[in-house]
Amino acid sequence: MRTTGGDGRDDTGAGRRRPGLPAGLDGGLPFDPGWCLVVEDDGEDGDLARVAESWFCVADGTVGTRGVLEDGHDPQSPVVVAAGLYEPADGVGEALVPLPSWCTLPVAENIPAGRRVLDLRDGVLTRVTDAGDRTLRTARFACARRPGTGVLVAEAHAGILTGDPVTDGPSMVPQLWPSPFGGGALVVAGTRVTSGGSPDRPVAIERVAVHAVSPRRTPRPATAAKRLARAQELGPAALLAEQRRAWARRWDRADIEIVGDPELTLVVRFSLFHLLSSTARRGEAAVGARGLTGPAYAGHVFWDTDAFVLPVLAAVDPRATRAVLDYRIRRLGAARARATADGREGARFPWESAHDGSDVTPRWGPDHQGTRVPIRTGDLEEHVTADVAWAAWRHAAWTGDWSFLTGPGYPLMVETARYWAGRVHWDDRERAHIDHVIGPDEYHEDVDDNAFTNVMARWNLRRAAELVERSGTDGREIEEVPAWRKAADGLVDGYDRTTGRYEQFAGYDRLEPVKVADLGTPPLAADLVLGPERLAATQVIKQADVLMAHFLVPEETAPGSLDANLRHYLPRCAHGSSLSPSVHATLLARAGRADEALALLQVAAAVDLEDLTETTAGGLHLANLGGIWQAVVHGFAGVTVERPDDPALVIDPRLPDGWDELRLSLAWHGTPLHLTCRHDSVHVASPVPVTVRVHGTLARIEPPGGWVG
Amino acid sequence: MAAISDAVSVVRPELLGGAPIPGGSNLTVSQEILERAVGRPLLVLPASEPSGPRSAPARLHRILVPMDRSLSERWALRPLIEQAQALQIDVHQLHVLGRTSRPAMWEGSGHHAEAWLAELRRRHQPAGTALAVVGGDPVERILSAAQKADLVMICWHCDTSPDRAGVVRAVIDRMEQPLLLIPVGSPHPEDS
Repeated sequence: MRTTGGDGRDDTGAGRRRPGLPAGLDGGLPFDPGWCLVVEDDGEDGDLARVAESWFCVADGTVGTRGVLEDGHDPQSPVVVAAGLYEPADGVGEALVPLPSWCTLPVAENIPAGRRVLDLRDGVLTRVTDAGDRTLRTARFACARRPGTGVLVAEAHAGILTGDPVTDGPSMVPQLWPSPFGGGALVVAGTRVTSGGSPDRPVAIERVAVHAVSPRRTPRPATAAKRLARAQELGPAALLAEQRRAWARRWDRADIEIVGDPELTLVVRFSLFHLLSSTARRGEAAVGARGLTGPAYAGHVFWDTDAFVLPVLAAVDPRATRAVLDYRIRRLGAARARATADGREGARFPWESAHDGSDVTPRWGPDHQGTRVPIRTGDLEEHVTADVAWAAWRHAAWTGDWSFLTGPGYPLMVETARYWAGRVHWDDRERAHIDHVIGPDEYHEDVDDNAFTNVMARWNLRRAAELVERSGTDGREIEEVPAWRKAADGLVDGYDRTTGRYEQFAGYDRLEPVKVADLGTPPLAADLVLGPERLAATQVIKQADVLMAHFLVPEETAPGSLDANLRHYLPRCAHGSSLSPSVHATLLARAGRADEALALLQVAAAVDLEDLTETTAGGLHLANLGGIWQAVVHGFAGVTVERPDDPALVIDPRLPDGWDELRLSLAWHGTPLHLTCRHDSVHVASPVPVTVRVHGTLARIEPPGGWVG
Repeated sequence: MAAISDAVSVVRPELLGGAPIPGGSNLTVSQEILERAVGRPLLVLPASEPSGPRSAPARLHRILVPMDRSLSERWALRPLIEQAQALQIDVHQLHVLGRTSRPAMWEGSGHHAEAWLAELRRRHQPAGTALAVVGGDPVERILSAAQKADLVMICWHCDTSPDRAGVVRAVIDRMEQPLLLIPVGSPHPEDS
């Protein structure tokens, strides 16, 4: 199998009509290797074929369809899932309901997979397998404007059809796939077949599939039928034109181009494509660790979504961000119940969440040998509560929307702060502590005063206090504010002024000072090298922990402390987690170490595209995709937002030598901006006047735009 | 066993004196065996003295197949496993997560391990076989698991360089069960 990307060196026919698009379904978009992930599959490598199924997932925020071949797929592996639709599952509590594939065609076995192309510009996946009288061309996409609707168009030589695509296809009558927790998905499809008229002319197949999904109520067959009829009436060509318009608008708000690095450009676009595809823009968005791209992690929602996915969406698609936050807001009741069960007030969000916000973290799970071992994150990894509050604040910071924080987001901020205020305990020196937690570094469990947890809790308390005072409320929380501020001020964070370093948790500095280089070259599965017990006795960490505070809340860390903590913790970090490389890339870029940052960004880029975890066949690592974007935007471009009332958008590029320009699109305070970052200057294009601070220089940009620096 | 020995070369280590090589020194027994095993299957039989290690059994009940996660090895093993199954021989695969065979990233026990194991089995475990994943020293793990097997079938990448095929060499030196060496493609960078 050969994969190609945006370097243009192959013979992919740039500028020509996109191969794979059946006749009558084209017009408008010539092939462009800068936007296309191409896989040539000769059938020799079944492993990468499964990984490619994840790469080639097409999704619309509601329903995701893996890039399986039309000839068939592993029946053990779910092909189609719907966001937020769960069912009970052994070992993991709940998992996404597997839905039937709508892409299967009755074609002969052993048809080569051929050449497959995912065009990120419009999310169309094409396939061409051209073997004389065994030719098959297909194109499919998930309608961005019609969530739950998928389109498949195919041309098949009559000789390879082994059945009738209509009667051997998905059901033409709405079929319900219920969730035991309520709601379900109604699936119905319509297939049209047009004979070629002679044996040497291909048969044309058009199929539209509709998934009417509701996590709460049973969808109505009439709804599904109506959507199907409307889509069929429009036809594939019109649906594709609509798709292109929808994605063109998205890319106008989100595109990134790294001039001088076309391969990394394609990786960033790939990341954005799947982040946007896996997130609903209406209602609530339950974005699992692998999104809609695969079954791994059972569709459970982790802090990955709040800390890694939402920050991207906040800048490029605020409607999606609201949907992500609505998922959390609607589960505040469950978070309150958890806090109550712990004997505390406020809201404690679960480490893993699914249909109703209760904690679905398995308490036991397999290790690498399949041996059942205890899983303690559900009990001890509490920083997620502050991460949820942070996500709400981050949305407001990008949109400038205080009304969200004083409105729907208000209870999130207040209840989480209330939780932390009761969570701390005080020593006889008036210092506050949070004991028995797990920080982001999961190599060390049940620690006291994890710096990241405490810094985030402090941030949470302070922001909530500010918000309550700003709101002018006369609710009980106004009386709590002094206690919140006291708890925030009293929380220990392990910071040592003499060294400029944070101690990751109480006692960390007394652990054996092993560095990762002593064990091998990172990324490194250090727990497989040393074993968990031995590893926990060392200073080796799994991923950014102290540095996560610098990543999420730099304003809450000691000024000038980034360098000292990078120097100390980076050599101790194994990057065992896919969350780690991009965080470090971001911070190294901010620290002016651009080449090192680029090297780690390239590791992040390889997580899914080179299957570093050997689990990409189970779905893409969405948090890593979000981290890639953050490394480029917050790291190399130095774009910084902090508060809804930021007077200026901060832009502070620190580009690697090989990058000529970094072009990126985003929206700040509702204004779409196009930035062109060079090493010493930035061009800001804006339809309205906007204030920016570039390399410390404040500038007022008048439309259509101008250079600063 | 007779059927296998008809199809492959057979060698008894105790009969190897160590072939002389230019420079004056002799090859080690394991090196000589590897030289003979390049490009063709080679069955290494243990010593047959009654008081010594086990002799080759008259019938095979269990075959142990230590495996890495490479595609080339899987292609080589699949038809042999199918033949063994057709003969109603139990096939037990063993994967040792050693220093050079660990995945680059490991998110931990639970969801990640589950996804990784599921994918490993999907790729490498034919229906009807057993597959165990263990940590530790590959040689010790193989030798320990071999105690329960009648035959050990191990792939190697035909690189006889002195610093290559370390696991295979050690297994050859210490194996007490019949050992079938299966040649696989070109030298594999992770073979050690």
